[in-house]
Parts: sequence; structure tokens; C-alpha cells
Amino acid sequence: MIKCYLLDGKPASTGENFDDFKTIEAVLRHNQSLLWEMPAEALVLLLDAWGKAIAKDRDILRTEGAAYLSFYLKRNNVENLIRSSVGNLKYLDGFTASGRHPGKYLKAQGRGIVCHWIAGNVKTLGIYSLINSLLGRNANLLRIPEENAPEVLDILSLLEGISVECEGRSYSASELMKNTALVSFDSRDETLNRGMSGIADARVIWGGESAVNAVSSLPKKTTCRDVVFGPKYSFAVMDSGFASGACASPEMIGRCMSALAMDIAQFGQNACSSPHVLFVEGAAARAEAVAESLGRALEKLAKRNPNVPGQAEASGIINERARYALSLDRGLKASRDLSWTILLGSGPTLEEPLGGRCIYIKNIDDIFMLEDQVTKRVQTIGFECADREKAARFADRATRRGADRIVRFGGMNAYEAPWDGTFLLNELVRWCSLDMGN
Amino acid sequence: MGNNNLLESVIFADQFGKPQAEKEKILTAIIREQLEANEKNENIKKLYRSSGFRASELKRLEDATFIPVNMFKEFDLITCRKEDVARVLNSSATTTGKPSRIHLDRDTSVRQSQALVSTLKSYLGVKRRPVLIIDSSEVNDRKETLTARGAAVRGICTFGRDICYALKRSGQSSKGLELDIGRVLEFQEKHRDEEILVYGFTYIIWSRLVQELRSRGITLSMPNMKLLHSGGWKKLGQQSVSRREFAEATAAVFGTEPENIIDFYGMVEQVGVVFIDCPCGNKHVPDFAEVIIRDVRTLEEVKPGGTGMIEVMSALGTSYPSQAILTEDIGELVGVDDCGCGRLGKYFRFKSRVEKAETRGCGDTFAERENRP
Repeated sequence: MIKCYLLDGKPASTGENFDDFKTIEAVLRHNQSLLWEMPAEALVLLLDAWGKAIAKDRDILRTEGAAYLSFYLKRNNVENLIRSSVGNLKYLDGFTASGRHPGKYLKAQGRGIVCHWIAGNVKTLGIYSLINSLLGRNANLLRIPEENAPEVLDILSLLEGISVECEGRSYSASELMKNTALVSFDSRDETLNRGMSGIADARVIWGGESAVNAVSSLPKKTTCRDVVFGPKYSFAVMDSGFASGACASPEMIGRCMSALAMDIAQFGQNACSSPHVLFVEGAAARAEAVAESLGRALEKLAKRNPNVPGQAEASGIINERARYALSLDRGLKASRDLSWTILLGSGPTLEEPLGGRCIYIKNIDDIFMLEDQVTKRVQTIGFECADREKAARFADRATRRGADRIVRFGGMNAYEAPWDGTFLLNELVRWCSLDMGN
Repeated sequence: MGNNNLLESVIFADQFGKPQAEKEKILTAIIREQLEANEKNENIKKLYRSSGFRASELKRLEDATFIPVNMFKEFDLITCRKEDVARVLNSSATTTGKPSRIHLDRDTSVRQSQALVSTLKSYLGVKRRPVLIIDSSEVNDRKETLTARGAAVRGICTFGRDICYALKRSGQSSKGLELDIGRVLEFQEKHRDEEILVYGFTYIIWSRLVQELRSRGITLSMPNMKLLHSGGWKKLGQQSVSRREFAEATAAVFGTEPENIIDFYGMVEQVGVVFIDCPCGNKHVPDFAEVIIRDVRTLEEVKPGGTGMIEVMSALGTSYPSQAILTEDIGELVGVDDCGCGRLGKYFRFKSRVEKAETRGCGDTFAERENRP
């Protein structure tokens, strides 16, 4: 059974039941034309207005990630997203001279219906996927976990009533809603997964290994484009120049630790961009000083934003704390409750994620020792380095091995383009050419 | 140690007779001294230092630093001289594949047996009963290492007489067990009208006895029996056998009432400390032990009605840190000093095993599939 929370612009908070996707597909195919005549600028203005509506809604701002989403939707950011993804807003509106060949024009057309399988770890994840797809003028079918439906629907419902003026015409955000169907169904229901896959002109798959493998192997149209955001791992690095305080004041290090604490805490440390290990270049004493500072930041954060671990997470943390506390060559700094945990060790090896605001801090002799740890499963490396040339060298080597993003502390979970090495918007358009001759 | 006599008097006294406050006062004094002695072990000393715990300053039992039960799989947590270790107990290692290793010196081992008898007396009376063990005799072989099953069987045997093992080894595998029906019928004939004690591991009782007797269409006649069973719910859960179904089916094959099928909760890391269901369905804590139900988030002790992870404290061990062990089980603290059965102290109920971690979403392990453990 499909529960549909949004169809044809009409929200249904308890979900309308459907046996298959026939009606949903028909509505989306019909409504897609509403986007074709909407200028990219109007789309950008509508998204900007949506962001402002989110920023004003206190209830919605309680949803983790909603505040960042409101920034993401800002006009400047969306225009930059389009430029970085497709080069020029005009390509979305009509055939535009490509610049290199006289008489040759390009247009980025929508792919049709984009089906999104959204992971449950980040509630706002589906919205980012949707925004990129709407910019490409696609109709969208989002399958989300049922438990996330209320928050996602609340955010989408803010589009109701938003309209903007552009080039002398009025455009309504209801047209974006009409091109969005929000559904949930049992992830193990192969018939429904196959049905959803069958209507997709593009599939965007977010999730862990089993989810990605299950959806990827479903039959699809030969013309269907797949974009997969699979399981990833992230960590953080601080070089010796920065950690020693030689190039950074104690205040600056304190600010960095506060930013890293946020990276750790966001999305329950379950995001692919959540850090699990912080490597500190230099002697063990330096790593311990960093741990002190990070502990203070995590403690402060816990006071205004408590950590609420589940049973499994709590058990994992308790065991790992004890393992480190009993070991003669490792250290532990932790809150009295399970608010946060810092596990002190050494060596350039990664550790399995524990979640629940647990971070391993390891001292290493040289950040370039980490090269061997970086594989294509590594997504984000939070990085603080005093030496720009060294930073560039490290970034080049780490990304060569497989890492996708090297960012400052505090920016690890900031969704941006490219993500996982992909400009999503660019994947969700078809580049069409028109040759008019000289 | 200075409090040895006090500990002995607690073990030999009638259990469940002390109000909680009085019990805690006595136990805190005994355990404080034992925790201080635990610091002989460098790992434990480091653990206490890391958590800022000073054993000598212990005022409340719940403030003692606990050791998660899994640590007995990873560290040799010995608090006596190595040459004084008389036996090593091994857990079944069903969850992680690694067994716990519990080192017992003679004093600890003796105290554990005495404590078990002292607890069972409260439920079964002082009379020694004929015992039917649903296992093979090899489980109780005299050897240096003993499994959890063996330790439990040995403890029960000290309480009974005329021990009969209902199963025998089959095949080469040490796990191969089959019902020796002739022996069971002979035991039944000999003790038909007596009060009998039956003991076994839950899954073994179910798979080797109950199902076997049902398939052969045999019903025993032991109406005056009490069956104590422990451990092994994981496998039964996989077969969708509920506790009620187990009790009813087992009672049926023994020709007795389901009330005589009694679950008890215990673990190899705390031999001698068993929690037996009282007629009200609650588990009571003997006077030489304590249970702290810790809130999963705050790790503080919950109030009656609250659920959390079960920590079992015991004053029986002086060769390993039995004083504060956090289990992987979830329980509910039902009340203190006011159970309808009349037993004093805290009482609780076992709820479930702790949930296992599940990867959800795109945050994941760093290991590629082929390199995963």
C-alpha cells in the first residue's frame, strides 16, 4: 500500500492510500508542463520566498537542518548552484549560444519524472534532492520513510500561497507542489519499488548499501539516468601548525572546536558527512589539548541541545568507553552521562562509527600518513591547516584517492554542489543541442 | 579483608529479609573495600582513574564505576594472584563469538555456591530434592575451565540430591545432545510423588526434551516438580516461541501446572547471583547483591516504573570485579520493599536484550564490503 502525502498540490497529512502508481504518474506527467513555461529566474525567486517562509516558521525551524535549508534556498545560493552545475541560468530557459561554436545552441531540458528514494537519517535530505530536480524542470516522486513524512510535508506545505512577479507575470509556488508527489511505503515491498522504478526517467537513490543495491537492481527504462548517493564515511584532520597554536590563537582553536562539535552533533552523527575521527598532527600531548577544548565545546552544546541516544547506540558507546578506559595506552574524556565521548588513541587508522556524539581523536606524525586510509567510501574531510600550500597538497592527494570534499570545520554537513562528486542538477537535465549553422 | 565476616553473615542469613536502606548500608561497606582491592589490577585502576572514581569514597552503590559485561571478553580482569585462580568460567559466546573469561579463586567459588543455595532456599525451602538436570553429565566435568551451563548445573547440584542427567552426548560434537528417555522414566518411577527439582537451559529444554517428548507422544507424570530454567531466549525468539508458550508446553510434558515452570535470570559473570520469578512475577535481589537499572541516556538509576540497562552488583567475587557489572539487558525497576510476595529490597522485571545497532541512511562504515569483519 502506498501512502501519498502530497499529490497535485494537495497535502494529505494522514496519507491517501493507493495500490499502485498509475494515478500518481498520470498527475505528475500532466503537471510537468506547468514548469516548462516558468523562467529560471521565477523558479529562483519562488525558492527564495520559500526559504524566507521556512526562516519565519518557529515550528518548522525545530526540525534539524531546517535552518540551514532556509539559507540554502536564498537567491544568491540557488543562482550559484545553477551556475556551478550548468554554467548559465539561460540554458534552463531556452536554446542559448554555447559560445564556442557560432550557430550552435544548447538547452538543458528536464528528464521527465525523477523518482527519489530518500534515506531516513536526515529529514531534510529529500528537499535538497527535490530542489535540484525542480530547477531542472522535472516532476518528482519522493519516497520517504513514513516517520519523516510529517516534517517533510510541513516544509513543502509552506509553498502554498507563495507567488512572485517575474518579467511582468505572476508565478505561483503551487506549480512546484503540483510537480511533487510525496509517498511512503514498506521499503521491502518489491512490487511497489518496481512500480516506482518503472516510471522513472531518472532515479536518485540515497541510502545505505543494502538500500542502494536493492533499488539499483530494479528494472528501469533504458533511458533512465541513475544518480546514487551511497554509504560514505567522513573524518576530520588538524595539521600541526594549527593544532600547536603557532598559527592559530587559542580563541581561534576554541571557535574551530565549537564548529567541529556542531559537525559531530548534527543529524545525530548519522549523516555521510558526519565526522567520526579527528586526526591531530603532532605529539600526543597536542591531541590531548585539542580533546580538552573539544570536550568543552561538546559540553556547552549538550546543555542547549541534549544528545538522546537509542539503546543500541548507548550500548555501543558504553562498551567503547570502557574499552578505552581499561586500556593502558588509550584515553577517555566523556560526559558523566552519554552526552558526548572523546576516545583518545594514536595512529593513522579509521574507526567504525559509534554515533551519539562520539569522536576518536588520534595523534599522527604526519597528515600525509592518512593517504592510505582514504578510499572512495570517504566523502568529507573536515580540515584545518595553517599552511595553504600544504592544504592544497593534502586535498589533491586525498581527493585523488577518493575523498569528495575537503572543507573547514563547521561546514562538513553543509549540503552543497558538488555532493559526492556530482552536480545533481546537471545529472537531472538532458543537454540538447541546436545547430543553426553559421 | 576486614568485612569478610560481615559478608559471610549476609550470605548465610535468610535472604530478602532486609529493608532496602539497611541492606544498602551493609553492602556499601563491603563493596567499598572490595572495589579498593580491585585496583590491584592495572586496567581496573586505569578505568577508575579515567572516570574520576575513588573507591574509598563510595557512599552510594549506584556511584560505583561499572564494567560492561563485554569487557570480560577483551581483558583478563583478575583481582587475585594468578596462582590462586582455581577455575576459569567461559560464557557461551553466542553473540560475539568471543567468550567471557571469569577467573575464580577458591573463596569466590565457595561463596558463589553458598549464595546460590541461600537464594534458592527462599523459593524452594530447605529440603534437598531429587534433581533432574536437562543436560548431559559431561557439562559438569571436573576441569579447569567451565562453561556457563556447567557452572549453573554445578550450583544447582549442590542444592539437590540423587542427581539425574536427562540427556546424553550423541555423535562426536560436544554440542550433540539427545534425550535418554530410559533414564528419565527411571527417575520418574523412583521419585514419582516427591518434590522434584528440574533444571536446564531454556533452549536445551525446549529443543531436546519438550519437542522430543511431544514428537514421541510421551507425557511424564511429575506433578510436584519445580522447573528452573535460564538463558537461551535468543534462539527461542527466532523460532517465535513465547515465554507463555514455553511454560505451558513444558508443564504439559511434565504433567504439571505452568506455575511450576520458573524463569530465572543469571549470567556466567555473576554466578551465585540468580533472580527467580516470585509468585507476583517479579525478580528479587538477594542481600549480597544489588541491581541498578540505569537510564539509557543519563546512566542514572531509574525510579520505580522506569526501564533501562540492568547492572548487577555482587559482593561474592574477590578474584574478579563482580562488584558492578553492566549487562546487555533491559529491565524495569518495579518497586522497592513492597512486593506482594513479602520479599524486601528492590524488585524488577527482565524486558529484553539491548537492541543491536543498525546502519540507517547514507552514513556508514568505512570498510568496503570485502574487508568487513
